[in-house]
Amino acid sequence: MSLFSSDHKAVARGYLWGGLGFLLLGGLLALIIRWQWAWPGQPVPGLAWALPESRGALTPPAYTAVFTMHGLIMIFFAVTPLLFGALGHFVLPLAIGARGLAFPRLSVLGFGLYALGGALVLASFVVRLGPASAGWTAYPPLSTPAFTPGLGQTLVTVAVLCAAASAFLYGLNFVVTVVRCRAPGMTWGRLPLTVWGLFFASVLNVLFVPVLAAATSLLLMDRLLGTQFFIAGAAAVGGGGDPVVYQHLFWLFGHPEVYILILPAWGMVGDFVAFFSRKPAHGYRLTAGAMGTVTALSGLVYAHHLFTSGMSPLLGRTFMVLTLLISLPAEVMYLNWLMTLWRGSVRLTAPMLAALGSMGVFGLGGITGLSLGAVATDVPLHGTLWVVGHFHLTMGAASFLAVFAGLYFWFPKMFGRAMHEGLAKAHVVSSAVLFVGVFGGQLAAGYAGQLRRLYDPYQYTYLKHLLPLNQWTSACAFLLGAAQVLFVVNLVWTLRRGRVAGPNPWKVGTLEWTCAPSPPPAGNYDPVPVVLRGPHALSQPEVLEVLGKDWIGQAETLPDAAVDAPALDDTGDGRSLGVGGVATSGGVA
Amino acid sequence: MKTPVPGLPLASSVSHEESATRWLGTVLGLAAWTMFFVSLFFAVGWYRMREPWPPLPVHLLVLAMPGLSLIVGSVGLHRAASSVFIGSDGARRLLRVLKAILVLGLGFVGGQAWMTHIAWWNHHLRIPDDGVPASAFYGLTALHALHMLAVVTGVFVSAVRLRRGVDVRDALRRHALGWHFVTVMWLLLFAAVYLP
Repeated sequence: MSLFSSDHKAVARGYLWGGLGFLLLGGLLALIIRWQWAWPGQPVPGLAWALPESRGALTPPAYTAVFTMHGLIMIFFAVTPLLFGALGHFVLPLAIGARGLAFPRLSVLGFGLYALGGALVLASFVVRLGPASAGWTAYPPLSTPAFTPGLGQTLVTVAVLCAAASAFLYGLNFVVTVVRCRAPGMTWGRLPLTVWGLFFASVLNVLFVPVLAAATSLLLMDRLLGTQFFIAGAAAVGGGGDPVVYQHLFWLFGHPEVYILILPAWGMVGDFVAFFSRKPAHGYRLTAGAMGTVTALSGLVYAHHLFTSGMSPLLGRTFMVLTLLISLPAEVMYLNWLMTLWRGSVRLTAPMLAALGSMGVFGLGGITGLSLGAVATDVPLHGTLWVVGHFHLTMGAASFLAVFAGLYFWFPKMFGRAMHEGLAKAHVVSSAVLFVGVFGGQLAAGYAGQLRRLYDPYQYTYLKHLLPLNQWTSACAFLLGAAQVLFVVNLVWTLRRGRVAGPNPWKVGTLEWTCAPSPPPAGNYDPVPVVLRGPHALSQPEVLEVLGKDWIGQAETLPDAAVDAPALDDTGDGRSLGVGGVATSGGVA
Repeated sequence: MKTPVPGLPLASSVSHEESATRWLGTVLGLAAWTMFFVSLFFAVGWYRMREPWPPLPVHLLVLAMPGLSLIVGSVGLHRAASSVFIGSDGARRLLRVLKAILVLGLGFVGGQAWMTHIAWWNHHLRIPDDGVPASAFYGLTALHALHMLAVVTGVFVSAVRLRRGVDVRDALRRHALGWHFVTVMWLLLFAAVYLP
């Protein structure tokens, strides 16, 4: 397919390769940071070509650039594009029975902007004074020309603006596609949970990405045009601005961004635990409703990132309550997943293992986040590695594992070939365990007081004893990096010689698996399917009896023999109604 | 010498479904993009709460003048988008209206440039010497004008397509929405930044 094809599947593949490339780059930068914390100031093996003056050892400016670019790349150019650009673009139209996205040319434009942003990020590495080095949040005054004068910071700021514009465009496209382009019969109550997750996250994208665009535009004007929106103190002339304004704007976007990254993951987890427990999703409506509640609350909690900025204690308390409130719908969702697993015929496929891993690390990240939502515990933990461990578990590890759950699940549909199941399982299990090792180590170091961006933490006496802990954590990180080789080998092998996948290798009923070949043709469906039931019609007694299988397609009609059987999906969630209208959801052995 | 303009059919050539989808996309997109300007005005509000906002050294009437063309253009484009233009005569009339609207749009951008020019050269309102008020005045005026240029470009493309015989009435409805959006944002800009 052409590079400029407006087919959503081609655009998805563009994002996939771009996202995986940036994931590799961001991961390598993470390993360099971990090296510095394990062996501070020692030459990094293989880096002498990039840092000849120090023979490969990280200097303080190089270190700040490395951790800045790691965060920026992972969030704006790797995980978000993989979740939305690759999986979202590919799955969303197929899962709702659409022939494509509502605005195909808009998705091509969005990909073009993402590619431009990516090119600017790469270019920033080779300009004088290096790339951006003001942290991924680009807080002023650090990010103003007074403190980061090079061209690199400007290029990266423009790159973030490009990524933001791209995210806005695909967010808008997804929302309109779900509202307007669903197949006949695809009611809101029959949408797969993955679509719900993508939909809610897209709503957040279109609402809050413009806030980031505004903050970044003002910052860019401060850098290029001499304005003083965020320049203050001695650097300001004629009465400067206020860097705290940027912090408010940034986190007004930044906190919803956490949910932008996790909502699609939650949707996938919800679907996969149902598919691979061979049971309808327990509390489908509650789960979708809980995701909606989280979406609504996520825009109201941002200021817990600013508890230490000198805000009014009254405001602090308000934001604390709102923040802690968000855990309630999250718990509802979690319990629904556990109830789906309960007494199900659980099949530990690679996507299921990745989904369970995502559940586990997100649970750990969520629990450790409670202490950051409460003012009293946030104040001492603020700025420590505890924060880093927490957010890496939630928006790093959980999203990463969800990306791979989705990739292993939809890969046969994308490319017509199934990945090697053994390698895939080894990859996701080792990654999940090592994620806990790495970010658990960070939580422990943070609890002991290690601040997050120290070049050499051990110059402080009270942190000297953390060196062995950090070395163990770094060892886990290097192993985690090595574990990704399993995926690369699997990917290359599968694309060249992988087993040809059938149209429905997972034996599930959603439209993309039951109504389209692998890979689907341009236009996806001919004719467009008429949807009859929800996405999780698994282990239905009447289907077992008539068809002899434990699943039925969303648009599949039962043969005449089933006419006398109880009606399917009167509940709208794929369950059948038994005698007296009682929903049944029993699994099969 | 006038070149003939192909006529417009009675009904729009875009299907109702497609038109409704595009309309929804435009409404949602513009509604969401309001957050961009809300964020800018939040920043200005923060600064205005911090210390008194000095009056700009340009008369309020001069500041308001470019906005008039915006408001007139908004009304004109709305009427053009909602009126029925049929046949070759209708297309020619619509093209004339679009030309007038383009003049108004470019007039607005030109007016903003003229006003900021006056402030810069005649009234010594300098960046960065005049701090945040000057930054907000030039910065937000420029960001708003960029949005106006995007809308004007859309109208221009529609005019060119109309001249080539394409039915652009559906696109004009959406451009009108964009113009209204920019007009409302200008009113907010006026209140947030230009008023002392």
